[in-house]
Amino acid sequence: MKAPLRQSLIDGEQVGLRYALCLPNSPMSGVRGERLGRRAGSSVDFQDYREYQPGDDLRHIDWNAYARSNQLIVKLHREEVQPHLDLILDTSASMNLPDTDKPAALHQLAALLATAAANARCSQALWMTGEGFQRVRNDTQPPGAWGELPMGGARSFEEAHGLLPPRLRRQGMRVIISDLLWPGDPLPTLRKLSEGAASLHVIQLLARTDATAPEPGNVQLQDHETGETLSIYIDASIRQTYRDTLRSLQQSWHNACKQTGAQLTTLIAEDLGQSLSALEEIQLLEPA
Amino acid sequence: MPTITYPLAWLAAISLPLLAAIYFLRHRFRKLPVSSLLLWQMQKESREGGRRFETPKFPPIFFIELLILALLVFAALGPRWQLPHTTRPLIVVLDDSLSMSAGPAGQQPRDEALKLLNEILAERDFASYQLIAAGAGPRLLGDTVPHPNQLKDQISLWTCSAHAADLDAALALARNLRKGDADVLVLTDHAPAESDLPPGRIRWEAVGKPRVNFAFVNAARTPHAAGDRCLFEVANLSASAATNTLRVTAGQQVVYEKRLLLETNRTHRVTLPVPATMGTLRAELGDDALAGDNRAALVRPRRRLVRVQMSVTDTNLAQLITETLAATGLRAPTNQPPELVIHQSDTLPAGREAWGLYFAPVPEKSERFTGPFVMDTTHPLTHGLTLPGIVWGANATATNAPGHLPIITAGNVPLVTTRTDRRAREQVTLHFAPTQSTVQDTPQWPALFWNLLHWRARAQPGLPENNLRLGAEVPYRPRGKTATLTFPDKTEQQLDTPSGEIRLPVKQPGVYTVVSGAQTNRLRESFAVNFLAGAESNLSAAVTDKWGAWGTEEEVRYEYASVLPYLILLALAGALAHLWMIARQRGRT
Repeated sequence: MKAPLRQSLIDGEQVGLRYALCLPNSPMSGVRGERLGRRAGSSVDFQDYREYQPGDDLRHIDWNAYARSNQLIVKLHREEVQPHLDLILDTSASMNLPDTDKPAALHQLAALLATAAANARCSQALWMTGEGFQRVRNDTQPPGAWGELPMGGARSFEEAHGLLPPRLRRQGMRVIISDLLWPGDPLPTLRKLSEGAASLHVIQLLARTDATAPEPGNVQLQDHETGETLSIYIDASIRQTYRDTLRSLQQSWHNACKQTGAQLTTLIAEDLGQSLSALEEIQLLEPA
Repeated sequence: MPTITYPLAWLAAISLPLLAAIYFLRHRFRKLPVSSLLLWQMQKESREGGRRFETPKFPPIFFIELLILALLVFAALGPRWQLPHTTRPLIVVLDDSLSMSAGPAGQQPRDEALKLLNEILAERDFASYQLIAAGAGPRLLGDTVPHPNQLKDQISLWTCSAHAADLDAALALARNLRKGDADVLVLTDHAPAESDLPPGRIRWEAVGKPRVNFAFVNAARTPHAAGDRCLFEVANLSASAATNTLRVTAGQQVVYEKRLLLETNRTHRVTLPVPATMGTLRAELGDDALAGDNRAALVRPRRRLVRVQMSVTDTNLAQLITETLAATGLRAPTNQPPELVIHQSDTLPAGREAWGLYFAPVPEKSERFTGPFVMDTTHPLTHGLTLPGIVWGANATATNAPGHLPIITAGNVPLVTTRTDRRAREQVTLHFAPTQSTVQDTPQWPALFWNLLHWRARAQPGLPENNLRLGAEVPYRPRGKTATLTFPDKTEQQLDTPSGEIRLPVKQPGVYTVVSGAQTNRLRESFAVNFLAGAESNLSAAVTDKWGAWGTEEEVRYEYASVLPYLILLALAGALAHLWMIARQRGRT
């Protein structure tokens, strides 16, 4: 791992100490933990009554109710679960754009969210694109202990998902960090990712050069992911067309998120420090 | 077109491609990695549907800078523009002589002169244009035209075939045409005769080159009793010694052939005795710079004999005259109808064509005149006569009769007089006392009779000469009122001859035929016209140079205004526009 990226992980971890993951209101599921789950469990929080069935723990019979109704009534309590965060990272080549803060911001943001999840007593899993989605080594450990995040995968997010989707935990929180710059309808991919999720947040992380068209002049554009080139003279009209296309892409993602109940926000890698409030606005982070 | 004051300033024009190179290097396609070409999909699709190669595009500011630089370069050249109100008429004097066509096609002085004329016409404007061809005499090639493009038709009339170029006469004509206010351009192949050009705005441009040229400078064929004598004279008119081949043919027969090696300006004469029956002799030289003077033709000369009737009663005198006539060789064997009647009667001789030689009666005691004798040397009768040292006996009391023209007199005593009668016959009166004279014992006597018979022969119908130089007049006395002239290229021209003698329109060398008279009395004669102009064939003095100008420096400054301030103003305006665009783009170029 390159030293600046390691530093980004440490920086993100330090920033993340100030935040906690904002858990959704909907009941969650997971391994036994400290948060109330949506099913009956062994916590002290009363959930419901039901008739006794053979095999039920006799300790849960509400004897007072039996005295009143002469029926064996079992008292159910909420289960206590540990919430889980699946952090899905786009580590394709487009996220490793040279001369930008995009890879650093990706590392920083991942570390921040992982730390915030730990603050919220959530378990976590990091998925990254490659030849399909793979777990990041030591992803359950603090960010400083993560292995290197290999950037520059040749497959796009959508291709990797089609090849080998991540094994996401049901009723867990899911956060996608990507530049979302791949062709095709985002809705199918987003629908699969939101299936069984307690919540889904999509963070579009763009470099400033992605958000704003290049300066006027003769430019040979090179796709960092495919190596394809395009020579073009950029003038005011071309710049406007670029901005319109980007806006159109974002609008399509916005619509897809709306249909799947996901939250979408866009961050500029170079302005990451000033734009963390956007993550609070979409109720992903809250002060710890 | 402007005139350029400092042509070296063209070197500054190198800044223009330099600027373009700088912009090209700055604005070539810079590589820019992007996350994805997804957002450029529209551009990509349109590119694949159309052209794949796109040339670098320069920003508008480049063109402004280029314009400013171009204006500054142009200003550095010091351009001056001709003021419309100072334009003058242009009269071009074109050397129309044959030497302007010397050399290979495309490199002839005529071609060079046309090139120079076009350059001058492109350089500046004139109020009007007029062309004068200077051949043996000046010739206007057309009307004055307001635009140089209208000169094309006139230039095609500039044939360069004349045997001489009278440029002085052409310049005089040019001065008369415009009273000296025109710019006169002389296009020729040689220097002016005098270093000082005639007064006026004359620009003399010589575009000739010295070249090797042999030429015929003389050709003649004279009849003699035994046959004809032909003379060909060839000259090397080059600036150096050279060789050439002279070949003389009569039909298919080669009469003479020789390889000539001549020093510069040396001549070689060939005299060939040929039978009188031999037809046209054609002499030819090998190829050289000027082809027009490499050929000469000599047709068979017509032998003109005069029918003479003797009516002299004095037997001694008659015998003297008869012997004299025989000595001339010009007397025809017959005398009917007589063309010349020699008589002692004071009445006019009969016959429509009969001239008369009247021996006036002299007294017993006549005066012996020893001189001084006064002669009209321009008269045909006195050609070659020299009378000093002779004794001429004549009537001292004789006076010139009314209507008679004295030709030879001794003091105020007429010795030979002539009178033209109403039928255009010449009547010559001779006051001559043989017993008191010694003139009949001198060569002057047969010379006088030869002159008389030759004069009479020349008055016969037909051509007086059969071999002529180009440029010489060709008089012709036709039989009848019309004549047909056949040119060397076999074209014919009908000529009306209301008067007795006409001048045949001969413009080019070659063998001509002229026919006149009725079918029963037709007169058909051939004559040769040869280009025998040594001065025109001489290419050793051809030169490329220029003399004179159309005005002094002050006049040029007056006629041409500087456009420098306008260029500077335009450049400043460009600089302001440049500044404005820079500010508008906040320094981005």
